[in-house]
Amino acid sequence: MQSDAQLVQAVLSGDRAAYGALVQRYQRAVYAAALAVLHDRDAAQDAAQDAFVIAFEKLGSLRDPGAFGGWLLMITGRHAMRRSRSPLRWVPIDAADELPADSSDAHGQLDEAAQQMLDALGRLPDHEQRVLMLRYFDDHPVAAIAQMTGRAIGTVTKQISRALQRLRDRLKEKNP
Amino acid sequence: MTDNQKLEQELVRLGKTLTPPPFMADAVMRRVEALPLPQPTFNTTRRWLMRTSIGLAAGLTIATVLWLTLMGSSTPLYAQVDQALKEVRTLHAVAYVRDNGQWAQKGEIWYELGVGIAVAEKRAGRLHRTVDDGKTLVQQVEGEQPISEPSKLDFHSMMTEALNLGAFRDNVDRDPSGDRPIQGTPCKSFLSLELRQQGREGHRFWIDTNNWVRRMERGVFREGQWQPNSALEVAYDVPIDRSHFKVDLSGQKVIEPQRARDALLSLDGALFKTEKMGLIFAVHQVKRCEGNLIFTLCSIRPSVETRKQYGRSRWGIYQQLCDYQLDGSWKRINGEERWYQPCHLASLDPNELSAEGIYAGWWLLIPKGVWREKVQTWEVGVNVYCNGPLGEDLQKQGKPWHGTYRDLASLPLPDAETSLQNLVDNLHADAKTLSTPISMVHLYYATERSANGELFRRSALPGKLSKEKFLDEVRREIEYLKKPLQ
Repeated sequence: MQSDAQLVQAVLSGDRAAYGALVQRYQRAVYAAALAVLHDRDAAQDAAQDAFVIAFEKLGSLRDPGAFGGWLLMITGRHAMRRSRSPLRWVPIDAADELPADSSDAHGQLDEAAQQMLDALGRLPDHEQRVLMLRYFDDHPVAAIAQMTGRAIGTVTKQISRALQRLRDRLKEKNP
Repeated sequence: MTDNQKLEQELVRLGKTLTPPPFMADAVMRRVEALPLPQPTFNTTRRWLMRTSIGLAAGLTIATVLWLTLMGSSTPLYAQVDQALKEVRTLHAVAYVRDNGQWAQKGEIWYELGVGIAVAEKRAGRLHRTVDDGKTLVQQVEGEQPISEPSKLDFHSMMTEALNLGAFRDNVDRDPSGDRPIQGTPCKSFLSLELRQQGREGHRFWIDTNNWVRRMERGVFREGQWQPNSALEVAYDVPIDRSHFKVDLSGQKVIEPQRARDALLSLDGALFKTEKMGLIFAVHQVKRCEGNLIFTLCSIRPSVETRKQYGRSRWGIYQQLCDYQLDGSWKRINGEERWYQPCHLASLDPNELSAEGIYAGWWLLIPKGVWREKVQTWEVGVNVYCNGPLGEDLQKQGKPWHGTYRDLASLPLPDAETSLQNLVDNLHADAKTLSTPISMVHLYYATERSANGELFRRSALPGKLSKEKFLDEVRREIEYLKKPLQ
């Protein structure tokens, strides 16, 4: 599996398809980050698409290709925030039919526990958000995450462990 | 099951909930395929500046990128529809969503030329109302204080934005098989190009002989069957009850962010202002802070002339024309170097409604190197960047699109020191006053360290970060920035 840095370099060298691998890798994380801000699935989907396109356009300015994930999540957060404050934003779409029935209601709203978890996740440091999303949302093994992020397996394991601890603390603050 | 296992299970469950639609990646790649390949463009000065402010500058250009992303070439159809809207005198649109196979009304838009526009919709169970009469924009969210701002969009832009007509920027195909009357008016049908591919979501439009959009649906073709999940139906030149444009704010405490912005950022009250490259840079506050730090609030905005030329709204989105970074005021005195490390504490972004395009930032200047005597003045220096169409034009003309201006002014520092706590408290309070859903101040702070000791910078809205926590984070960042660069 290629690391983020390798994929970024490949895109900058002209391999546009390498960006597809990055999109596949981060689409769930980006979507989650947008949803944490917008609380609306359709708006989050649009914002996530925009964030990927913006990141592609600005890829040449990314100082450290290995930091792609964090950088992308930052772009997503800023873009989602900008969308959320558009005063006349009209969101005429409700894709409830598209969604699996789980922790969201018929209108695509997350249930309270899921929303709290998402909010708490959004308050973790970028690198911890990234490893948790890759591990639990996309089910990547630790070794694969280590390759993607360019870190040692031990470092990723520690990051996940610390992130879980921090996440648990944040959730306890909310629900003592 | 241990606590950790439960948490992991919850995360997996959340992940399943957050599955993006399968066509999302395809949609991204389709858009990416239409773009030129990115080229390494990083400017050395900017790289240094970014390092000194831990990557903050990257965020400042996003609005410009977004603008450029949205400014794809318009189709003749879009031009026709856009032009036709100018002929509209009144409009009433109703938005529907499909819930369990049934259409349910989600919101309404009313518009009358020269009178105003009103939007009402339910979001997360609460009624959101926006009314703009061309002079004042009022936003009301059920259960919250209303917000009032001077109106910044012209009627045409308001309507284009409210109707989400940006969908026409994408290419569309004529679809004669879908032609049908809407509200008794014969309409031609058009399909957005995404719909050519199975499983992709897109728009269908029905346009009458006036080139007015009568109906818009968003959905997907499944096994050849059109399955819309939302719709907007629009009636034109119908009688409109003008009470929709009236807002009763009597007895309510109204948030007026514009007033707060004027008080903090007016050019008349600025300590210093100068015009460079069609932009006005101004210093609004300078304070001496404990530990020989300097606290300052500065802004940049397009001049009246620049605004006239470039600041107009197109499709309801204002363009960010400028940003700045404070210079470190580097000096070599008797062989000894001294400079300031700028630390960006907060920013008021030029928001979509602000035709003035003001970008403001709160900063701490941290003395680095050798400072032998108590400093009495701050030698103002700034890096100015022209963005958006202003920057593009300058580049086309072969002129520089950014500039560094040192020793612009020597501003006296007050003798008395203000405590960091006091400054941060005031900044936090100002940020809260200025932050509304349409105009936000972001507080920046460095937070947890990575394994190699690097601090990660994050931003938060003042409502999400207590002043005590903000102060702690600022102190931590100062400590970090005081150390020599590795």
